[in-house]
Amino acid sequence: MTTKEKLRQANDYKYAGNISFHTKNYTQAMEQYSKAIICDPTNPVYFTNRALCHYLCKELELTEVDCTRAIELLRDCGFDADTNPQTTSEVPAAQKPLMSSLLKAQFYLGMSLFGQERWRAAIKHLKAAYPLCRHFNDPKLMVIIDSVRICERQLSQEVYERETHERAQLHTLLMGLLNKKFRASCELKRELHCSEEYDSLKAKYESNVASLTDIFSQVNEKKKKEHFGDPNALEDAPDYLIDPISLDIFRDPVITRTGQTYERAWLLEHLATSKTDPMTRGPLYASDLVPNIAIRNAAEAFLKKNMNPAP
Amino acid sequence: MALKRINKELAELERDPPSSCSAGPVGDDLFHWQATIMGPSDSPYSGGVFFLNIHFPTDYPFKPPKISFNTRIYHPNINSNGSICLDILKDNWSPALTISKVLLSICSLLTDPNPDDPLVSEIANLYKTDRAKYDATAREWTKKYAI
Repeated sequence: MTTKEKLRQANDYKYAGNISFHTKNYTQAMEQYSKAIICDPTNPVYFTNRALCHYLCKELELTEVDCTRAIELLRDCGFDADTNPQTTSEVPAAQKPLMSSLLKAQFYLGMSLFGQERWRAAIKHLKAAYPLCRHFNDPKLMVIIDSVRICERQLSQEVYERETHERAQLHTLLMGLLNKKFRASCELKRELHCSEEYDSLKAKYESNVASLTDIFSQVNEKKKKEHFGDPNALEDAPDYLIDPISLDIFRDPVITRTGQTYERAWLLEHLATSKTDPMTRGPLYASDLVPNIAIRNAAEAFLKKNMNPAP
Repeated sequence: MALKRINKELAELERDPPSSCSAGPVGDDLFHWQATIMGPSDSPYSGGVFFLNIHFPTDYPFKPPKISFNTRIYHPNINSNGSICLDILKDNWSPALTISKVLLSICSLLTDPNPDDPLVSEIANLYKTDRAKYDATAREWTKKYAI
């Protein structure tokens, strides 16, 4: 078979796979994409399509393998996760499928890592998928924002737990030392026949233990706040930092021609069924939206001050 | 997504409850709420407490909640099943609306019925032709069902 025939054959397998995919027969679709990959192992689209099947069948490790391979192939074609998303509007139409493939590869790699509780790596790839989703107005934006938030919280939790454990060990050690010193003093006094001083020694020891416990519980409380923020702080966020659709603090706000600001992902979800501005009810299209950088910075500053999500 | 937004609304209602109405989940199902509206003092429904059922769709807030009266009420825009004829619950829904805002709109509908878009045409006709009789009947129903 010539190379050209092989490529055509691979494409035919892909179409057969797509048909199986749309009838939700993922195992069969996977087989077709595998055949396509054998005919043409350099096309990243076949890998991302198979990755999605693996993901839907909850085969996370295999999803990871296929996405990683797709990202490597895309890098060979000059598509990199680090490609500046602002320049993507200049991408020729013919390269759009590759960009869409990179989006899927980064997103499903991120999600498979998320499922495997590899938080740090998941954040990296989900964040790489975000600007690509934005470029395509892809509704996965919302999943990314939520998943990254969960990852950050989990990382924070892990650090907090480790530090708390270390503090608990130190606490135990210091308690042991206090106890040892107390008993040694008692022994000394007994030898010197000053048993009436035992009561004052015991009182001193007990107050030391109480102070130490108090200090540690204060530190624990303070660290908890540092890692998880004040749960009530979000409720005190000013209204201008709150998206009117999700009622949540802004992450990636966009502004309309009439000056209304919304969270991008939630607004796009609304625009998918109704091309109207939720506040003014006037016509509104996804292409009219531009980032509201001032509000984004204000929301970031607020979150940083009050929530401190990442270690 | 819907659940997150419903939880936000619930927290906001607990933090800053509206003066003339209340709302909250019936049981563990956060998609099913019950609400109460106090009859506005400048209306024939004054003194009555009206119960409403709220069902959130799974794609809330992109689709409107389903709201109906549980308490019988004599009103041109509310029928005997408790269905409410209100534009913002249908074509004019916006995801920027909240349960709190919708309940306030229902309150103003009680004060100012919309007889030109009626659900019960007999009541609408009476409202337009014999306001005193309409007021009396509405007051009577309020006493009978809502007090």
